[in-house]
Amino acid sequence: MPANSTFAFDAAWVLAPGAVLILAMLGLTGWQLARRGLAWPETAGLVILRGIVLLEILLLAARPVSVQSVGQHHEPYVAVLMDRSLSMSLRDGHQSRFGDAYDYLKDKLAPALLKQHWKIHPWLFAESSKTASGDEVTAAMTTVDGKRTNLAGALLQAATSSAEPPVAIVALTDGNANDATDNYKASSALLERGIPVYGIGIGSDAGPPTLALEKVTAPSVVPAKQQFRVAAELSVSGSSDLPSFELMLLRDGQLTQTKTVTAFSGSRSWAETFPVTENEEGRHNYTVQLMPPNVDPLVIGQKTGTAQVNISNEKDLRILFVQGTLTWDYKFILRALHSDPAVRVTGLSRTSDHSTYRQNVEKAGELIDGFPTSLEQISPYQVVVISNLKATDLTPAQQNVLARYCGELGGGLLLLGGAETFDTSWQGSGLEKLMPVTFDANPGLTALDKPFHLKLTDEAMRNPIFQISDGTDNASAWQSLPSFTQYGRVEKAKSGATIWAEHEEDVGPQGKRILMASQNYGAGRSAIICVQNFWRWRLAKESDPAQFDRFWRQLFRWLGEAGKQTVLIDFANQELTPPTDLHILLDRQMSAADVANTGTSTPKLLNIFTVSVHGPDQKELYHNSVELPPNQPVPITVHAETEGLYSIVIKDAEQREVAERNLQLVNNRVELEHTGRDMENLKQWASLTGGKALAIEDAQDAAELVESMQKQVQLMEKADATRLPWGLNGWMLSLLLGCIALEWLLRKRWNLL
Amino acid sequence: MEPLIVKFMHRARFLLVLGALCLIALPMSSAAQSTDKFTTFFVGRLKFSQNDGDDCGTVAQELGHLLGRASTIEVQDEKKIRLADDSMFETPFLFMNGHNDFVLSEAELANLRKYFTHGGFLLGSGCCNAPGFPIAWRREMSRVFPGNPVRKIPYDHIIYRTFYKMDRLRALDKNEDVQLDGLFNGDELVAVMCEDGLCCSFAMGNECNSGRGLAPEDGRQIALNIAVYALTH
Repeated sequence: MPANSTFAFDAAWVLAPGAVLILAMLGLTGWQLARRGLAWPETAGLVILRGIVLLEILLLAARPVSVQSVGQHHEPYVAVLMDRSLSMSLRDGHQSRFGDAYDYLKDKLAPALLKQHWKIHPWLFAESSKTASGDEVTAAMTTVDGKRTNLAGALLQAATSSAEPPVAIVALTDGNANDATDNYKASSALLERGIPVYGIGIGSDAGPPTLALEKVTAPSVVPAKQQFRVAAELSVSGSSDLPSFELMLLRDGQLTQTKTVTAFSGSRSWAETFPVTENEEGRHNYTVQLMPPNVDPLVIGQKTGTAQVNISNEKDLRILFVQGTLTWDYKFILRALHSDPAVRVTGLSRTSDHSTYRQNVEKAGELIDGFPTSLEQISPYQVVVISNLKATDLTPAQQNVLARYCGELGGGLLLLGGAETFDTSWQGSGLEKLMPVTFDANPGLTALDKPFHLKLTDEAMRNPIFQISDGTDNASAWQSLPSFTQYGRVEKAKSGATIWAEHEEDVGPQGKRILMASQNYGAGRSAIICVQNFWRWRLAKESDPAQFDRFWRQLFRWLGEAGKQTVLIDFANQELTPPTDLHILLDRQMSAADVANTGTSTPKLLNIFTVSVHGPDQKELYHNSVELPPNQPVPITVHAETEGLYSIVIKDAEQREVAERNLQLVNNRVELEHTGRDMENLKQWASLTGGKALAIEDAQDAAELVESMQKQVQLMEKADATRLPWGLNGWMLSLLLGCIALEWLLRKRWNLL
Repeated sequence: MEPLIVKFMHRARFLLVLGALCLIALPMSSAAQSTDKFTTFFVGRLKFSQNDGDDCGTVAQELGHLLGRASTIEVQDEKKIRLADDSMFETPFLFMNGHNDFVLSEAELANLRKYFTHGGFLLGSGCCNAPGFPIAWRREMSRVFPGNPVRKIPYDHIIYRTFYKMDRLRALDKNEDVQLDGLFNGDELVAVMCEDGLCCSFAMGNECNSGRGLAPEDGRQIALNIAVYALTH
């Protein structure tokens, strides 16, 4: 990079008054010497010597500096970054965002830059970036399909790719950067090299309307001949009218059902469900395919999603229903579960302080001493319901068994109670630790409650547990529930808990009173329902008992699902976008057999499992025998090349399936998650580097933009120039002292001292 | 020194304020301790046809007392309900008894059909071994689910063992067993009737049905079994 040196004074203002002063002083000196009768040649000589000294002092007082400018560009150019990520293919108007950017560059920016005699270095970027010729930029119009937007990476590349940096970088982008890995490096490079960034925001702030199939869910295990539902979670953003469109359900690739979603307007997220019943056992993939309406402009996100369901009669669900007294809720919940032959409920009801009523015990002596006091006793059940009991009704040892049952064995725990149950005894109890909520120290006068309705949260409405009716009338089905009279006070939801229902009016110290909530606890799940007398829902004249039954079946199935997984399958990846290496963690839970073998050496066979991973099209990607000691997570890695459904199945030594999990990988969702223009991101880059961020509609006067660019460049060059003090050296000092000494000598010789 | 009358006035004023505070606090404390009625066991006493639900008047109370043996559930007073009332659908346990014949209207039958389908339970009892009520009950209940008539509940049914294990029920005046009549909706037992003065037996000490029907202890045990069955099935 060239470096030009110029001369300047940091305190130039001193020069003018100093010169006047010096002239005055010299005049006075000459007049004094003349009065003393000195001849004019000698007088002139002395005045000149004095003048040299004073002039040198004046020059040094004005702080002379040598300015070495490093910002001067021999061949100044501007790097223009053209975003070719998928979101730039969206159309806010008559053409794509990339088309808008291209036109802006061609018709406005390029002529203005060339007029300034600045060359243009175009770049194309998405997940990576590269320099491009004009023809390549034109050709990119047809391939605006980048999977990510790494704006920082493009800025870094443009700033550092050549020895001579650009005078400025102009980014023509919608600003929707979704890869921030190069942010730090890019900002450092831009600041170090003094390059201002000018962001031109392409698109509109709201973005075009989008329609996406977010997720497809279904119960992982269902008994044969029992109806279940495949739910498709859909979302629409934008405010335009959306005409009706079709959803198709494919079973193992074969079309089985279609469904029409009726026209509506406005943004919303909702679920459409397909009822399915399988008569035979087996594993099936259910794919929901979105057939988008022909609307312009409408962005279609993910169009398909798949859920795998294992139709199996082997996985019975055993529930232990423990209650402080006989309740009507128990009877009606039993009724709800009665139609599911795979669900078996064992009841344990307190009849007095010292006696219990056992129902549906399956072995002689089962629960003969009341509530289980060991993991071995509680391990046959997948779900435990604690109803109408206070925390003090269970001993600390029993509470500890429940905690280990839920956290280690993966059991499901449901706490049912009301105003009289949830008292202060729950605070700080062992059971409170399991629960998704903390209990209220001051529940107040619960008897003064007014009748109220349950208000389900959006999370609940999207959850398959709460799908009690077909499609769009699900919300109205919940709204038609009868009112309830009292509820138990809890304080607040714990971090990580999901609130399912709130009081429609009552507010506690932490917001709306929570009536239903859930959370994962260790290997298991826990849920709380703070409303009793749910039986009134089923008995109510206008209710549909099938909806009540479906809710309880789905809730218990969900609670019991964690416990059925002997091995928990988790993913270490933060983002799951193909191609990627799936880092899978296999965590075997301690089983009843492990508990029985505690203290002895666990048989090795108990730890040996077969792990298989299948990718899309049932292609086997991994098949190995893996040793899984209890509570010691074992990682495995599988490469996932393409999008689609990946299923992980784990079998024990006897080839019985003990766990399975499916994972849907999609590769373009991130680009279409936010379709609105992100000016804030562009403003941050501009603010950091001294540039500007303008929406494209505000940047139509490109000449003005380039002018402001030039001013900024000059300012930055000036700020970046090196200023070295000049004149403070031996020569100047010698000159000064020499002149003073010579004057002194002459004055002595001419007897003027 | 204050005159006596002034002292009295001070004390009267103090007592007045104290009394007022008590009056305010009393309903508050009683309200705070009150129970949600839907969490309790309560009997809906059916009024039907010409029957005002007054036969064996203490039957609901007695049933509650019996249930106190089997559970810590709180028991509330009975509530009189007409078969056509919607409040029937807020009462999971209904009781009807009587001496005489009766006929149910189509609307009452439809209400009952819905009530049973939604999970309600009905206990019927003939009073004083009078034949009119049991005959009518069987006939009318058989109309609730057409093609599914009332039938005898065999002794191997769980209702005979829900709390007390009862191998059989013997009539006091006849050398024969007393079998309960049941109405089933599918495989769910939704209504039970005892023709041999069950209510007289457990609620009246069999005074009105002396020498006939069920012995009082048998009556109490089977009544409790039925109530527990209704609460657990």
